[in-house]
Amino acid sequence: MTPVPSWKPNPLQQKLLDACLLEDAQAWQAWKEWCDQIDVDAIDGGSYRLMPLAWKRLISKGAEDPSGGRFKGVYRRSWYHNQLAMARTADLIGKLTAAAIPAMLLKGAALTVANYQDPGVRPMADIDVAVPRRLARQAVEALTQAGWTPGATPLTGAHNTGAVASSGWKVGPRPLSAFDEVYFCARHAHGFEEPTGLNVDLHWCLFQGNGDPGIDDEAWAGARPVTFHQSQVLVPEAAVHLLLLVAHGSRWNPTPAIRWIADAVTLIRSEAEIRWDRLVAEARSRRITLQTLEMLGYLEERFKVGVPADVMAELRATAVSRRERAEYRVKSSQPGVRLGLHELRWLRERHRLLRKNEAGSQTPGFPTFMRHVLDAPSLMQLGAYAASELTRRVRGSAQDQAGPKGTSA
Amino acid sequence: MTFGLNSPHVVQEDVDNEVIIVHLVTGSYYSLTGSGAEIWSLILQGHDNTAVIERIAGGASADHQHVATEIERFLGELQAEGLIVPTQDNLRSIAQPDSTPSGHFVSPSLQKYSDMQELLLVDPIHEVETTGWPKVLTNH
Repeated sequence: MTPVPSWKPNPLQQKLLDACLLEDAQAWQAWKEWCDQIDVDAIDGGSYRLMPLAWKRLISKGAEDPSGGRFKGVYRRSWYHNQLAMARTADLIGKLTAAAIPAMLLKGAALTVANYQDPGVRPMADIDVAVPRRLARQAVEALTQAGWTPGATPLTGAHNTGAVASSGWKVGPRPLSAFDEVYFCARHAHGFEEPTGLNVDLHWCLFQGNGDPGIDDEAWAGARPVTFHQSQVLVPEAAVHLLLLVAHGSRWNPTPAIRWIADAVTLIRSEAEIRWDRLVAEARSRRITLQTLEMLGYLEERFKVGVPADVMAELRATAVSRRERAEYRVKSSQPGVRLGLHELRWLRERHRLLRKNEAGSQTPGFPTFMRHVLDAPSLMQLGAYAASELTRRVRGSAQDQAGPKGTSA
Repeated sequence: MTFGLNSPHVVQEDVDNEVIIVHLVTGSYYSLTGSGAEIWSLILQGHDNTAVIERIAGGASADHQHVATEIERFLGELQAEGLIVPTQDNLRSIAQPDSTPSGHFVSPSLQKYSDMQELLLVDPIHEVETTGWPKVLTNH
């Protein structure tokens, strides 16, 4: 049996999405049915992230509030956090601009400014800022000079296995010196934190898992300026941004990824024009046509957003390799051994790519490359982590849980 | 004297008849209670303090002097927090306000929440009072 991809809402989540996104009469009916079934104290992380939108769309217009006022508080908190985070990010973008580094907002912040146009309805845990790949090192330096501290290098499963800690591996901020060509080639982004606890995710590749040289060039060329806290910043053109929402939403996440649906519907409805031919071309070059076809098909069927039939036909007619098909299924399912193997294969390819280019002679062997990418203190500790993670996945114990605070951007 | 929002350092929004304000430099969060939202709205419409007092006191059954004293205190508080700043523009001082007075005066107050990290860490579903974030449960 084919597993249900993680981007699909369950029936209760579907009711909430209907309430947030359908026309008035259907929305209010869906809201009533959702309220009748929901336990506010046990709300899942994906639904929680839709509460500010639901409050604005329904409760503030007089609909029933099953939370007794707490959903309005979720909106207030989202508005407060986003205002602060966007103001701090605007300062940061000013510094990047002063250093001649173009910056592009992605996902939550870009949607808030260009599409939702309400700082409170779209919660964000961090703000995604992209810079051109060739300027990644300079951008990291600009961030650290502005007082932002690099977060730890993300390690899948490390927080709940204890493997890292037990091996004496003290996970801490990634050293500035470790942001080099090897790391930029192997990863797509890294998180930075301000002293107040606000977070920025610095991207040097727009799409996770799409780091081929030049793959983002057209997306940068098509980006458009928007006003952001009295200054100018870029956001992706609508077609590219929609594809990014699909690509990001299609990946498994411990917090149900259903927010992509509200984001995509809002984007499509609020944009004057979407260059669908660009979306198809980008989906093909990034080898994500399968999820794009399925997810746009879902949006069209459920919310009648106006995806042209010929776009669906073009996506349907695109040849999909076995590898692309397998990657989509693996990445949209709960992490297991197969995902681990895909990750390993990806890193192997990045390593080979590094060895092929002009700096290849300085590229270390694969184990040392892995140690560097994961910021492991030694090969032995890396091995201990890898063995523990493999065991965890084999046992199928990847039971990441996300509560209300799980609001990644 | 007229006042304006201390922009761009301060942002505000009317959330379902409740005014919420953030000072982006300090990270402090504010909400207005009593007649605070009505006074705030009149100030941002460009009415000077005299016009605001006349407007509120004229429509309220409360003692005029008491209303005037309370409004002046409130405006001083808003200024001291850096939420509003004096402006030269008093073009609206003799204009009609955009809304009708509520006719009921409740001493305005400014509720301030200044611990930004706690504000961001608190769980807005399980660790707050029924009125919602930012009012944290006392036993939290």
